[in-house]
Amino acid sequence: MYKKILFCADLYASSDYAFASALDLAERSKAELIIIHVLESRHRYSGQVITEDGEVWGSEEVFDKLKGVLKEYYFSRIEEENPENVRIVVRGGVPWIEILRFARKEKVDLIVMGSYTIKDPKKGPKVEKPYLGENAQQVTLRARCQVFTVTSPKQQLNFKRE
Amino acid sequence: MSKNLNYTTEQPVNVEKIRKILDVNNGARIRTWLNICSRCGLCADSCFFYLANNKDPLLSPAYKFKTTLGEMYRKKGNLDREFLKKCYGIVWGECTTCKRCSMYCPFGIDIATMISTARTVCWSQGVFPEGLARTLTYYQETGNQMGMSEEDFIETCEWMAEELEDEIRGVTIPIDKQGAKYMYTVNPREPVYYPQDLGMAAQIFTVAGEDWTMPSSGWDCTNLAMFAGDRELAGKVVRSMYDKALELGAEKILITECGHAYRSAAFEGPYLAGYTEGKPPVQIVHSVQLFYEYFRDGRIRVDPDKRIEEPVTYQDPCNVSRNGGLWEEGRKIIDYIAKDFRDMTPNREHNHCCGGGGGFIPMGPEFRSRRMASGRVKAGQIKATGAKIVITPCHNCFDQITDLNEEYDLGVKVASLKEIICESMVIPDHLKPEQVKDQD
Repeated sequence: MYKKILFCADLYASSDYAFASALDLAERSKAELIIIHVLESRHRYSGQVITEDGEVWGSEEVFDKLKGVLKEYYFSRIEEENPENVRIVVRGGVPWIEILRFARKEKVDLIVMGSYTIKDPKKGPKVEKPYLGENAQQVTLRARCQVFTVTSPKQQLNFKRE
Repeated sequence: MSKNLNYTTEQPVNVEKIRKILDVNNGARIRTWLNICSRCGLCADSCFFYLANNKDPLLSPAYKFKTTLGEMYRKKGNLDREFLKKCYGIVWGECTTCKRCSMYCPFGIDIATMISTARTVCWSQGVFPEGLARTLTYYQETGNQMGMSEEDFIETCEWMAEELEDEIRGVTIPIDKQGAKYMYTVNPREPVYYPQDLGMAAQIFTVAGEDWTMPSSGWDCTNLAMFAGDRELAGKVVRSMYDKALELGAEKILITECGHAYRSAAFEGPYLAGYTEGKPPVQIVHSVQLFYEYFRDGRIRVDPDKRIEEPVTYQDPCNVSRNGGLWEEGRKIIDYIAKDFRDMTPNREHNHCCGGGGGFIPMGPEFRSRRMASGRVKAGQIKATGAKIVITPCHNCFDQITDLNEEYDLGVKVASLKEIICESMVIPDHLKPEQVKDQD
């Protein structure tokens, strides 16, 4: 069905459902699963990126460290030990741009992502409310391949009056 | 303000090297300027650093050049690390080389040039902001300040042309076309962080029926080496752009909406690149000029229903308006597009620097707090207009005002000229994709 599936990781639990879907689809399709994480660059004039240690220069060490964290976080959710068909990619920049750039370059046939991420935990959206973030909006509108945005059950809209 | 900044090396000071730089620059102009300043203080009130920081006399331009370059000459280059550390804070952290003070100096002393020379001395001793130094490594390795490969650049152009297929029929982003009228050069921030800017430029050029091309190399018109004080590299950077235009036989080099790129390409670059008469080998045109001509000549028309209703103001980039002379063109474009234009006070060549110029933004987070503090003047100017949209033809102003918008809760939208032109221009029928034509 699919040959290359791109999962957009943000290391927040809210996108775990998206990851589970991406993994399931990759296993069924025997597709390569690529996990991409983009460290946001706030100063779009320089190579500084936002990490858990604050705003730092996007050096090889920073990207390698993040690759290790991603591996630990997502590989623990895969049954197979050291899965061969899974690749981890880290970039710096504007997330939706780097996701689209990578997807085009690698000719991926499916992008799977959560419906939002938390840029600033202090100003982040209320996670229990349905919300479509900028990255999900832009990727959905602009990608030339299929895009799945997967919400967590807490986020699903219903028709009940609140 | 000089506290809390780190510089990169503790190597012994090379006095010989400093003397060489001072000697090369020890011409009549600098000697006169250093001697003629009468400490009248008129420059102080022209400086936004001074105004934003409770009129601290240590931030008056006269004090800044006297205590840096002036002292360097007085000490005949015999400087120590402590002195260079003090200079570091002043030449990079307290001056954006916006040249506003020169306009208010009764003698016309070019303080920015002296600060730039002091930067060159600091640079020669390894005393420079880390953020700027990193961009210089990229210039050396890849020819652009963000280290983008030629392959990635070309792919980004192709990607943007693909995205536009649904909006404009037959749109392309030509690469290395021989003999084009304009070789369009950009700020690497566009292909890296705002690729849609390339797409918007392509839309405008297609609608205007322009004969243009992008170069596969020499496409970065910025020159942060110029702000870092590395004159040799600054010359190399601008020369690669000139050489590419000559190779392609382009009639003119078109500079994107970037202020310092225009200053580099049109005014300082020729000297840096070894054109001793100060004239670039290919004519330099800024986007503001060309976009204005498109409206003036009817090559682009505005859809009357899309003219902006909300109040709009215009941020004059120092290197486009004051130092580039193009302060009317941007306003004339806005006249075509917006109904309610509100100028800042002061404006045109008298406008204040946004506070992010002179390499301030790429210097990185180390300089952010003082950048925000000094931007108070610009934030106040914007607020006073009551505008909801700030238009500026400079990437640097765009980033700084975006940051100020958050810091000072200005509640404005920051936009480039390209963005508002694309939102309001009429797409001629022959360029409309089939399905859009059907809807019409």
